[in-house]
Amino acid sequence: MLNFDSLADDPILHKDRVLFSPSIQPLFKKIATLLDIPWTSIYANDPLNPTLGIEIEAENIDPDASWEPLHGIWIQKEDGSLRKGGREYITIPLQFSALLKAFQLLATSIPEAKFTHRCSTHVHIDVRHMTRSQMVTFILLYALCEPLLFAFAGKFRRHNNFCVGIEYTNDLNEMLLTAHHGRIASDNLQKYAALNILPAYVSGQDVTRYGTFEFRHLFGTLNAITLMDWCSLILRLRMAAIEIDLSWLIQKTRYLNVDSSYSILLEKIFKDSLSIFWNYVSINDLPRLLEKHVSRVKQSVLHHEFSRKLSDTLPEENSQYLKGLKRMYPHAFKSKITLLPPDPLCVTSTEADLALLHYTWSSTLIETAPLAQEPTEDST
Amino acid sequence: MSPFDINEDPKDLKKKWANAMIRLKLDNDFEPVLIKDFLDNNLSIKCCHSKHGTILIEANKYEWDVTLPERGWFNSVGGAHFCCHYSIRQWQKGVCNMTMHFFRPTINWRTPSFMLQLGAKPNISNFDNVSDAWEGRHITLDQAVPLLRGYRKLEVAISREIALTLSPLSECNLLVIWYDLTPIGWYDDKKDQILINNTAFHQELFDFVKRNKLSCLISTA
Repeated sequence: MLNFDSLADDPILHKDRVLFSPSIQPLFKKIATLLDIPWTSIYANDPLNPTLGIEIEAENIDPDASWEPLHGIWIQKEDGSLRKGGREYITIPLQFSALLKAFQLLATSIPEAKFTHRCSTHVHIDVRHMTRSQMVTFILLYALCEPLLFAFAGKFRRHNNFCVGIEYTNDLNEMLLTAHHGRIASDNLQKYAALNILPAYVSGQDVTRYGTFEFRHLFGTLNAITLMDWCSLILRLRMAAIEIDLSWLIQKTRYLNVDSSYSILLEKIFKDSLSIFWNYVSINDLPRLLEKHVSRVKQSVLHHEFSRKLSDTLPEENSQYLKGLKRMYPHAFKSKITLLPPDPLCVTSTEADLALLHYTWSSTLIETAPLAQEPTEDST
Repeated sequence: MSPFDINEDPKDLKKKWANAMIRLKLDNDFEPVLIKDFLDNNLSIKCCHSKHGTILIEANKYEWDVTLPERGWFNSVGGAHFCCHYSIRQWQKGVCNMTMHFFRPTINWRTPSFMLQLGAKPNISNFDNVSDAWEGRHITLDQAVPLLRGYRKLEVAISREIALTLSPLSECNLLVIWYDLTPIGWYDDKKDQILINNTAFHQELFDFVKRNKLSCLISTA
């Protein structure tokens, strides 16, 4: 569990300002005309109007089509995970107001594009100006709202291996630790999380440091309404992370499952964009969808001495647990057993347990399972 | 529908699936099998099944379920395990070291060497019990108490979120209640009473008692 009391209210991330040579201005002005925006808003570094970067994967693209950037807005890249002439289209950093035109331009440029289960849409949002406490708030708000975002993205994406939600993993603590310390706290954090926070912190291996959080939930699409709705939800989440005080949120979370004021909190976060969700979930489903996530957040942020003591203490001599161990595994206690305390940085660090369980499956089958049925001769 | 691409190179197919566990529909029920090999141009799959041993399955004639189990507690041999997913690039498929993490949070001080010293031998029930990870079958509170008190289990999952364990403290013989990965209080089986220490989870326990129509009292420790 984390201690947020000492969290300094300082922005920890780079506030790099992209400096462009005057020669690039004509290109920016051309792009600005296409998108109907002021040219200064391209690559803008405005804390209150953050830029977004969109990656859209598509298949069925003409293999002879040019690889040149489309309109100077969309960069094309090859993507090994796609088939049938699949390409990834990536925008330059754009503010929300420019996105609709950008989507429409891409849609008219690749009318042959098809979207299969292999395709997805990733949205990067600028977090460079956010303080550590705002980033912790961002992650907590996301953790609370994740089921709604997956309701939007659909059942298939919810079970996808390339955008694994907090719902399934133990990543939340490590994400919060990372935001809290301003550096990656664990090797367990990987880019295939539904909310990938690595681009804000690291550079190297498979990840580039962009100063962004990446939302990987959405399926591949060029439907402008879907894309705009999705981007507006992400933008609202980020704005709420700035507006909502972290300590207020923690207190609110403590009693959220008691007073079931989910919709009030959601209105505070998503404001007028909240209605987008009602196309996918019913307001009556909110308790069912959110209560587990509220509990997960509580586990991460609410300190309690009892919980810590019980999960960290070695079983004491004469304790029921040790008696149980001795009764169940008497042979093991013939020799001296060394109990080591848990690794304080890794709350659930028993990799060995999976190894053992997996070993038991394999070994069971190889060594002890009777070859009861062999339907064909080949099976031997 | 088969999740296997029979046109794929057999070596790649084996690399992706070998030693992974997925579920196969047999006799109207999905049961876990361990994939071993692909034969006959990938049309037949050699699998291991807990009851039938090694079996050969025609991939396209059976229904497969590649869904991974949900996060949470499930009962397994010797006690209960907690399962969760990894968010890494999962080029390997099914339930395997790359996609899933199974552990016993009740004893996070347990080390690999300790596990080996315990010498928990594999047996057939291990395999069967894994299916509980998918099914979400849990033991009731009434059933859990004798298992724990009789030292037949070290911990018991009574729902995906809640587990009971023996006490690791010498001065308290009550059963510890865990909510997800957090110990939150005690269960006094003699008085049929839940004592909550971490009151932030009062509502969660109250909901559990209500949904399961239990008679136990809930009070703050």
